[in-house]
Parts: sequence; C-alpha cells; structure tokens
Amino acid sequence: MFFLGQDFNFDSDFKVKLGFFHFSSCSGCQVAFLDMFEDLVEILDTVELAYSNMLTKKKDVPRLHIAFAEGALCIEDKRHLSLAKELAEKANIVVTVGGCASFGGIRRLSVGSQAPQPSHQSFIPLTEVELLKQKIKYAIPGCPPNPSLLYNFMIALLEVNEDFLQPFEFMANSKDACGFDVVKEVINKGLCVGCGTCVTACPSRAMNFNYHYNRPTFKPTLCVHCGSCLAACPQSFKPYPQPIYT
Amino acid sequence: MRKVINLEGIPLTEGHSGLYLEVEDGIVRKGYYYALVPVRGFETLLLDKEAVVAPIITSRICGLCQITHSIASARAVESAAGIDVPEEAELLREVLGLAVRIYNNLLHQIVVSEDVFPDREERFAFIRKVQKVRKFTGEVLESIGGEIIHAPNIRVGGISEPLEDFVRDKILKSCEEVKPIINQVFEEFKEGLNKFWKREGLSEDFGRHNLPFFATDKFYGREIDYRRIELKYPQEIFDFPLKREVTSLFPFIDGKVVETGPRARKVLFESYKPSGGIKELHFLRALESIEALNRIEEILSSRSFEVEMWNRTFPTSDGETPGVGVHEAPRGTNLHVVKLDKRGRIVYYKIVVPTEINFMVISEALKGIPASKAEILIRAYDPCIVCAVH
Amino acid sequence: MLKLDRQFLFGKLKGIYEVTCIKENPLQFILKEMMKEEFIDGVIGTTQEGVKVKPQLFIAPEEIRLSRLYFHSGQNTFLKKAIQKYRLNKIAIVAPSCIFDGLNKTQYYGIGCNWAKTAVALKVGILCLGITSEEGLECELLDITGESKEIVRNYLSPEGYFFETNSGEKIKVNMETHHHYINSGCKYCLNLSARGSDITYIPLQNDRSGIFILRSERGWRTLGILQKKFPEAFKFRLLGFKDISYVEDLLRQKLILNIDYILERVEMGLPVPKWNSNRFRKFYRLWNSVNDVNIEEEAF
Repeated sequence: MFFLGQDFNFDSDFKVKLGFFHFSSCSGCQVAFLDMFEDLVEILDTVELAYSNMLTKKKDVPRLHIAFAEGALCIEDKRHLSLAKELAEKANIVVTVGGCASFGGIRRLSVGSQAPQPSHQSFIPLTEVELLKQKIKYAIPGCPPNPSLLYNFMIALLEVNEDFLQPFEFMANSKDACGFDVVKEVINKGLCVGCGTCVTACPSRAMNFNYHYNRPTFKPTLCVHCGSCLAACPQSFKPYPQPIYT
Repeated sequence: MRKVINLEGIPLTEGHSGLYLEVEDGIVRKGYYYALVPVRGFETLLLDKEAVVAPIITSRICGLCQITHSIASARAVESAAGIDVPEEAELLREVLGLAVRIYNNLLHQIVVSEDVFPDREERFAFIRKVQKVRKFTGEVLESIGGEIIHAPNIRVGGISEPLEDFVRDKILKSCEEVKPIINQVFEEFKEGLNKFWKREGLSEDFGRHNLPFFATDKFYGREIDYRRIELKYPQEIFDFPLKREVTSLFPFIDGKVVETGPRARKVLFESYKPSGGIKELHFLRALESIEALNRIEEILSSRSFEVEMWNRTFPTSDGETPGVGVHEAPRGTNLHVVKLDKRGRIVYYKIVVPTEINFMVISEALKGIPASKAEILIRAYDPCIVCAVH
Repeated sequence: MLKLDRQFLFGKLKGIYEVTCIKENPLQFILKEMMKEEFIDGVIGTTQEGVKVKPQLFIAPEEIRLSRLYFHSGQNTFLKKAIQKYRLNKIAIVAPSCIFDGLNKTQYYGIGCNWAKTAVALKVGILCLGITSEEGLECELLDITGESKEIVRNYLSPEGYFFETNSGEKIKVNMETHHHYINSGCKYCLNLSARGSDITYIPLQNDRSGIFILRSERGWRTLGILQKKFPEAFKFRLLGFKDISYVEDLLRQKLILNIDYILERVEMGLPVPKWNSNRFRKFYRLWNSVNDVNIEEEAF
C-alpha cells in the first residue's frame, strides 16, 4: 500500500497508524468521524489511532501513515506553522478533511482584528501551503463531510480503491469550492442535466432549484465554500465504472 | 520548592489549550487555564453581513455544539429586530438544543473514556452503547435541524421546515428505545468513575471550589442584561510572553468569577446543594443527558409541529438597540449580542461562550490540588476551546 | 463503423414485457401497490400540472400521481428530505438516467447525502429521448405545428415519438427537430434507456399499458409479486427485440445525433466534464478503433 512508505511491515497484527490534527477549525470534521456511530468502533478496531488531541492521551506526534487534518492554517500563529512542519515530517500522506482545510471554507471570510489577538488575520487552506503540498494526497469536501462519505473514504483508503480515491486526488489540487463553480463548470458549459444533486449536497441551503428552467440557483450570501456542490455533481466526475446497487 | 510549569496541549480535551501552574512541593498554588488556538474572528467577519446569515455562519464556530450558536444568534437577531417567533419554533429549538446537549455530554464521555475505562474491551463496549444513543440524537438533529453538524434549518424568525407528525412519531419511538440504553450508560459511567477515583486515589470532593453559579434556565435559555458581563483581556492578566499568546477572553459576571454548566443549572433551578468537587460535575452532566431526553419526549408529545414555524420578516433595526440571544448550551450559558442597522446588516456582534466563563473557574479550582492531577480536573469541565476562541 | 448494437442501446436485461393494467397506468399502479405492501416506503418521482413538471416525494400510496410527461425535473433535490428528514429507507425512484447518475454518485461516495447507499429500494428508469424546458416545448410545438398547444404526455409507438395534447391530439415528433430543442445536457447523453436501473419503463400510446424492461432481480421480483397478487388486473405479454424494433430505431436515431454532437465537442476541444476530461476522449478512441469490446462497460 502506497501510504505505508518505507515502514512496510508484514506482521499479521500490523495496523495502519492514523492521526487527527486540527488547525483553525471547529472540530466538526473530527466529530463527523465520530458520527459514523457504531461503524466507527469497527474502524477503530482495525486501525491504530496514533494521535488525536481529543481522543488519545499521546502528547507527541509519532510517525504516521495517514494524517487527517482539518481547518485552515493561520499564518500569524507560530503553533500552526510548527504543526505544519511536523506534519510534513512525520506523516506519509496527509488527507485534508472538510472545506476549511481543502478549499478555505468559512475561513475565507475571516478578517481578524478581533480581541484578544487582533493579529490573527490571514487564513489559508492547507492545500495552499507549499510545504504540505507534496504530502497532501487527498482532499475531502463538505462542511462537515458526511459521516457516510468519511466511512466510505476510510474503507477505500484502507483497501486502496483507486477508483474511489481518484477524484479526491483531483480535489486536492482544486480551488473550486462554492456554488459559482457549479455555474462555471457545469451550467455554463452546457453540462447540467438538472438532476438537483448539488441542491441536496449543500449543507447551508445556499443552492436551490428552479423548476421552470430546470437548473440550480445559487445564493452566495449563504455559501460557506465547502465544495460539496461541485463534488456531488454527476458531471464533475463520475464513479468509474458506474456502480449499480441491486 | 516553588517552580512554574507551562503545559501546552491538554490531551483528551477539544482543541489546543495551555496551562500555567505555579507549584510548591507538588501542590498548585496558582494556576491559569487558557486557549491557544488562533482567533478566527467571527465577531468581525460577521460585520456588514446580512443578519439572516448569522445563524448559518455562527454555527461554524463549533463543530461540537453547533446548534447552540445557531439558536443564540437567531434569538439575538430576533430580539434586536423585534421579530416574533412562533411558539412551536421555540419549542423545537429547545428540542434541538437538548439533543445537542445529550450528543455533547456523551461525546465527552467518549473523550474521557480512556481515563475511565482502562481496559480496551470494556472501553469499546461502552463506546458502542454511547454511540447508539448518539445515533438517536443524530436522528433528531437530522430530522428537525436538517444536518447533524451545522444544522441549516434554524433561521432568523423560526425553523424553516415544519415537522410532519409521522416523523415526530418516529422520533418518539426511537426515544423510547434509547431510554434504557442511556440509563445503562449512566450506570456504567458512574461505576467506571468510582473505580477511576479509587485508582487515582482522589478524594470525593477533589477539585472543590466555593464560587457562585450562573445559568439562565434549566433547559432553554432566558434573556439577560449583557452589561452584567465584563470581559478581561489576557493582556490584563498575564505577563509576557503569555499575554501575546493567550487567545481567549475572560468574562466576569457582575464582577465575579462564576461557574456555568450542568451544576449551575442544577443549583439554581432545582435548589441542589453542591459539594463542589468535579466528580459531582461528571455525575450531574451524565444525569442531565437523561433529563434532557425526558424533556425532549415531553415537548415532542405535547403538540403537533406540522405547522408553519417561520416568521419571514426581514430583520432590520436602528443600529443602536442591542439584541441578546441566550441559549443554555451543554457546557453552560451561551450568549450572543447583536446590533443591526436599517438595511438589516450587522454592525456589532459579540459572543460569550460557557467555556470562556469556566476558564477562571478551572483556574480557581486548580489551587491546592497536586499538579499531576491538573489534567483530570480540566477534563471534568469539558472545555470546548474552539467555542471559547471564536 | 458505428456499431450501435442492442447491447449498447438497451443494456443488460432479463426480459421485456408489455404490461397492461385495467385500472390505471401500470407504473403508477405498481408503485401504489408496492407501497401498500410496504415493499417501498416512499416514491421520488415527478408530478404534473398542465405542462409544468415538478419533482415530488410521495409518502402515502393514495398520493401517488406521477407525471406523464418526461418524468424529469430535479428529483434528487428530495433526497435529503426523504433520507435524512423522513428517514425513509426503502425509497423507489422514478427518473431518467441522468438523475440516477447523481443518485449513483451519492450512493457510491456519500457526498451530499448521508445514508443514501442503503436507502433506495427500487430504481425505475424512464426511457428518455431528451427533455425540453417549458418554453422549449412551446417553441418545439410552434416549429412542428405552427400553433401553441398544451402538451400533457409523451409516448412511443410503432409510428414514432409522439406528444399528446390535453385535447387528445397526437403530434408526431421527428428526432432531428426534437434534438434541436432539448436541453444541451441531454445532447451528450448516451444512456437513453436508463441502463443500470431495476426496471426501464417506456410509455405507450395507451396510457394503461407500457413496456417494462426488467434488468435486475429486484425489478423481476417486483413484477412477480404484483402479478401474483393481482392476476386479473394485469396482462403481461412477453416481447422479443423484434417487437420493439421501433424503440430500437428511435434510440439509434437519437444516439447518432448525440454522438455527432459529442464528437464535435471533443474535436473542437470544448469543455467536457471536469476532472475526468478523458471520459469523452476514451469514448472517442474506443469508438474509432475496435468493434468488439464491450463499449458500455469500457467507456462508462
């Protein structure tokens, strides 16, 4: 498995080491992992949760196979910079979870100038940090990503299901994360079929549907830039080969 | 021998926080607990935005107790603009708030389970049960709020979608199903905690303090005069370098350090006599989950919610009148203050969250305990650092 | 060179039946009875007011009133309501293939809607030759007949593709004309017969009968159950490919138009779906080289 790097180990009780990190975020993405409810316990049984401030007692970051990171990086915060360095050093691959880490999300609106540390003014998604870029392999959209999505992703990652993972690899290099992208990439290009999947995907109800011309409409003020809409659109990428559930 | 300890990153708590301890012979003489995550600037980023987006944006302050910020901000805007909210909407908001209370209290139990259940099998069995109850709260949040995390249905003026009777019946049915489980979880947690206390050799009133309490309501939240709250800046409390690093404010209510949260609600609204220790706090929090579940059942079975619950008046005000929105969050009283102008834009926004209030309580309670047990004390308050630094 | 064989046009199937129901439209009747029997607990389909087609979530059997025109209008907007709010877990979805694309994706990845993977019990595909917007339909009619009419229905018959007005008048539509007026998204569709669904439904001239292409075990069982329960209400007629050669011809005509359109796009380097720009190119390559590979599986 590619994310194992050089630590490949043939022991039968070998477990993939995961870590959860959070930058400037609401912790919602990590909680979304917990919202897999009973399925979570099964997953935790098969992997080793090697680092998480919230769920483990470990103080130091060990060598990790996969690091899940949420939240945007605050340029003015020294702790974030050193955490980013540590991640680049210690993780084999990094997966950015959620809108903030992948595309900027709600942090795109932050302007700082608030007590008690008015200097915290600039926030960038982890995918824009050069140091981490080589390590970030996948980006998961959503605010927060659905537990279902996270579950499927985890399984695909552990099984190395390339078909499933490929689009998330594309998203790690994408900056598109709001309703305008559906307009720009799908509607403008004549690819929209009016299925309404983007409307269902929007976590803040910024996307609506017009039944007269059969296209989604977009209300920018409600948008939190999570990237769900374009990621959910069947015209952005398709599962290949198309799955059929019987 | 007196020495100063600076700890950073308290495991088994949410977010990145720090601890400053002055220790003499292993006993804490003076302590401070504070947050170290960057200020995201929710109070400034909301300025000049239309007030109707406030619940959506403020919900992103916290991923653990999202609804409480949506509710507080919606209520603040409604109060500033004088919008009447249908009674049913208020009741459903209360249900959502209570669902998130259970969801969070149980999340806290999962978080501290590594302390409480040292045996892996036992711990996983416990988590499995807890997750079953959390699944139920997830169902409530999804059906009524729209999503589990960051529910979009809470709008200024009410709740955007009616709750059909058959959905309500479904929820009530699953409510009935989880009741025995939540009681079982409570018993197991209590037992685990007793064992843990024995293992660590802690006294029954470990972490005791004599501070006053502060809460506005048992379940939902009542408006208070926000001028009673005075915020102290870290620059006033700490020396260099901490004053440039600490990112949380320290609210004092009527000039005093007060505790808010499950114990405060019990003391102020049920005349409970507190013993002051943190073991009690753990119990009361766990007990509150059961009470919240009963209250959810009571509200949902009291009437039909298959009605229009959204007053769609566009919020505007004069730019001067403050609107205060209060919600009793899982960790205590959460308060949002907003001022709107004539165009309906936000011109002032202030957020005071329970963890901020409790920072100073933790700092007080640290005095006199062994420094090695400081983390156990902090965990008992279930601090939510992301809320505190918004 | 273009090898539009049956396998490609119709996809894999288990059997083709012409189903006639004495009570009402067979598809509507089937869904109602399935819901009464609790095999399904909700239907996401479309309903219709005049020419206006709107998506609708039906949760009681007596509510079900499917549209008779197109069966397409943003059905997926109801996914979250059905699955997350109402917590239905045996939903039937009636839609053309493009809607299922979105649904399949949601099921496969889980982006957008929680628990979608296990919530869908039946997928009824509609054979679709392209849909128009309301205004598009108006213009198309003016183009064909020169007058404005209210269309309530579309269907296939051995004579071709037809629209029916509210006064019962039947208007034959030629594929080229139709191709001009349909949504541009429909012009690159290559799955007109909704491959991958459980049942594909083709409306016929008589509203009380329709062609059912059964594709999966689930679709097969659905019809089996109802046939057993209402032996007198249903009439089944097993069809062979030669009985539906007119459907095949129409599909072929339309597909050739679509393929022309796609090839033009690819040759011009016009935008194709993002993040997988070789989807069409792969198709193009396959199209121009081999005849014998299973194109359906390779290209999609």
